[in-house]
Amino acid sequence: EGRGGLLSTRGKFTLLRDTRTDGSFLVHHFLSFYLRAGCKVCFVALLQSFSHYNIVAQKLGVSLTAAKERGQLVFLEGLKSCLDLLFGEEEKQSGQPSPLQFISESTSNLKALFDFVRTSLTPAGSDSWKGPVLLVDDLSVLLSLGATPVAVLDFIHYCRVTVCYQLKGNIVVLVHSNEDSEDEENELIVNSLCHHSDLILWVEGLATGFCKDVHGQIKIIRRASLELTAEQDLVQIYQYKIQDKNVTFFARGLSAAVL
Amino acid sequence: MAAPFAVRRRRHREAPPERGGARRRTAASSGGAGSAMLEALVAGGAEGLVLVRDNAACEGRSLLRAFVTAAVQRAERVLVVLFDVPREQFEAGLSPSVKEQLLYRDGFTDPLGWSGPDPDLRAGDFGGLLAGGLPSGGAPDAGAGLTQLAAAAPAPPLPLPGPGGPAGGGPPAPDESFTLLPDGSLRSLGVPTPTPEEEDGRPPPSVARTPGSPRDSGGRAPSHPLTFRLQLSAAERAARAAVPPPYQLSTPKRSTLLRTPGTIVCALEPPEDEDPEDPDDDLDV
Repeated sequence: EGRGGLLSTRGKFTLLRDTRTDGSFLVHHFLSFYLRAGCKVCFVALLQSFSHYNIVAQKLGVSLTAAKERGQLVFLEGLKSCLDLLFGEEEKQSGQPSPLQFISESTSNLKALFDFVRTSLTPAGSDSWKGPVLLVDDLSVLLSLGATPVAVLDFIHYCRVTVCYQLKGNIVVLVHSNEDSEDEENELIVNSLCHHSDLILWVEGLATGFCKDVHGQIKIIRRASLELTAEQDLVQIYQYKIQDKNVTFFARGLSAAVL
Repeated sequence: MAAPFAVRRRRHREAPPERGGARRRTAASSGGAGSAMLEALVAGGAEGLVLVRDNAACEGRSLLRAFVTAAVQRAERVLVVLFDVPREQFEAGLSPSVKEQLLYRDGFTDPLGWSGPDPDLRAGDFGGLLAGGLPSGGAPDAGAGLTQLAAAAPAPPLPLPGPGGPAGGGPPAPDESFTLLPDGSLRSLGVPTPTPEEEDGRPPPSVARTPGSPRDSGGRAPSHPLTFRLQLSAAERAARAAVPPPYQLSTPKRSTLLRTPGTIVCALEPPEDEDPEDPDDDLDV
């Protein structure tokens, strides 16, 4: 489908965007995809627990526990970190500040989170991984936790500088968005990220509502306008159906259920 | 003092790709009269601030590069202040003779000082840069460097206060089309002829203005067209609001209902004599 070519182009920023539906199947795909490709992955997982991602990854043929043990996967479990931060005892905060310390501290920036990402992905001498990857699920949660849009955009900016341009790695970020949304801060972030993305995968629920055989529509926007040749952005639209271990894509209106 | 110009990039609908990788784009400029305004701007006719405002579907950095190329060719000094992209990405596509003439300040790599001491340009230093930190040898082109704004949804051109000159305060100039050539320079294609749709007064359907393109009012087809309309037009909404709901009774009707005693009329049907072999009585035997 073309997504297999992502590794050959390094330093790319991929934006996963969902509207009226859940785009986390793309997060699971990219996680297992990059782990299977041998990349060093830093996963800022704010939405679900480690075991949730592990169960789904096992269906896709990857063990997150094994990846963590061999040092290929650095996993920030946001749910646990938040609890430790807010309710943990003082002795637990041993030397290293928590990456999510903006929740409880007076600092309003996400520098600690960026330092965590940078330390995780800066290659050590003995590493033989193919390129670093930062995966964030999802960015809208940072707003809910109290970060300002400027702080979130600063964090993403520094991640772009470090991961994409200096380390030549890739970034994949999931955000939620809704055209009718009154959440202006979220829409501001989504808009800004669209400007910087090399590839946008926009997953939308069908305008007509829930359907058993077609779970939604995915719009693939390759931002060729950012390239040297300045062509137009390529937009492809497919519909999809999520199955247990697989997602099938088909042209609009050509679901197997209606043919 | 000339009024500042605003140039807004918009995707020209269904533009076919041209040879050599150049493509046709549309710019709407305001604050002056006359056609081929864009050519005049690029040729150095702008004074003061030129604002290039783009959106996510149609980026404006290539237009900025055209301005930069033209300025270098006029032997002006150009200072590029980078916030959004690194230097390699900004100068990609510029000819080597242009590249070596550009001066850069890097506000991209470490604007907040998170990565280490002594960044080239801190976020707060921008005022100081413009006030006293310019390189010697004449004022550089003021239009260089600043790229898109954070809120990139297309908006109507800002009304520009015209300080008395004939160019100020006029109606917005018509949209102009232009093509960017492979060497980075700009060629104006003039004002595109309006299609019959446009002449009706309806704006042409725009192909993906932003990835989050707003819902069209009046019930026109959204970016993924359906065969039926989901939104209400203003007239329909007014008509719906004018219909009284059935549970809202007018006073005379309510008093009538209250006065009428409720009765239940039960009309018993006569006992049926069903034929067990033909219960519906429709067999033609």
